[in-house]
Amino acid sequence: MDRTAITFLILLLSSVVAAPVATARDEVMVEVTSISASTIPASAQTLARSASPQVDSRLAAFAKKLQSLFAYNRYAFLGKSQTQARFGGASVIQLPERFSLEVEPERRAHAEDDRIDMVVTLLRDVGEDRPGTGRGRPQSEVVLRTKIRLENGGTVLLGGPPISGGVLILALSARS
Amino acid sequence: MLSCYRFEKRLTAYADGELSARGREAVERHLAACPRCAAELDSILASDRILKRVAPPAVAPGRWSQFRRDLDGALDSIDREARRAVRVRETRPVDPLRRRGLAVAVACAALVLAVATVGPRGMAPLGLWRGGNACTVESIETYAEGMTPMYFTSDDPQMTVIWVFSDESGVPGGRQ
Repeated sequence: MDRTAITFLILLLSSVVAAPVATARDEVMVEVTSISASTIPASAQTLARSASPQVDSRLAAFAKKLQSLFAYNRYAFLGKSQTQARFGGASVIQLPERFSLEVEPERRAHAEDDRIDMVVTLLRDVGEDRPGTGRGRPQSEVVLRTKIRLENGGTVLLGGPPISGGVLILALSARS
Repeated sequence: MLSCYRFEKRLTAYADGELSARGREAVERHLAACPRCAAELDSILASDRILKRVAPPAVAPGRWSQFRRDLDGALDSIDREARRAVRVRETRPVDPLRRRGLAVAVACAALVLAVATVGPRGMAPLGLWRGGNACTVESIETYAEGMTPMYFTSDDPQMTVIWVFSDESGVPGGRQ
């Protein structure tokens, strides 16, 4: 086998090995767990089975963190959604209680650390721009917009907006 | 979901002719259907027209060199004042006991730094050079009335909380 053939073979093998890695790096897997946190009044708590915080079993992965960070005594699981968001594009995740989350991963040039830059926008549907006409378009308000640099595979908690019977907390994880 | 805020960001670029053909078309489509953004664009264009009408002030020949001399004079006077305020501390040789203490402190600091950076076998490094937190918040804002966004970190370096305070939801501790 001459030198040209060996070079060609090495190039071919490199492209085969590199291709899946490049594809995988083009997208970010974003997972959002929606939680409703609330405080049961002390009087009602005595009637409850236990005075310790009530955490939905589906929130087992976050239970300790939630209890160490907040003083709510009831955490209910509202849902879990995930999306593949492309770098430079935007993906929307529909959430409970007329909320939605827009995730825009941004590619950083010469990034040396394993972190994901993204703009996260929490929107709330506030009705239509021409109510009653049947031709209105949905309108939403930006409840929160933040630009974060999240460790690959890391989680950040977003929360605060009031929902029926409590406040909304979102556990957002991202992996590329 | 079609939201005005996404186009509001691009109106200035549109007015300055900085958008690509595709971006321009998207904005024009939105403007045709959204009187609010069309009014915003009119306002941007009106500001541009006013700015273009304002001519830069005329400066007499030799005024800049005089200005430079005045500036140098003012800076020299500040320097002189600063020098006058400085007191030179008396220097004394470091006694051997203090010198040994200093050496021990430097050695301890080096040891702590080495353990934190590299970590012993089987133990994760403390992540001193990664900012010490899984999430860095670069910006945070809200467009919702009566809400205040902020973020906080906990003792757990893996957890950052981004919170929108409102009169309804109260503090994240759950106390109303």
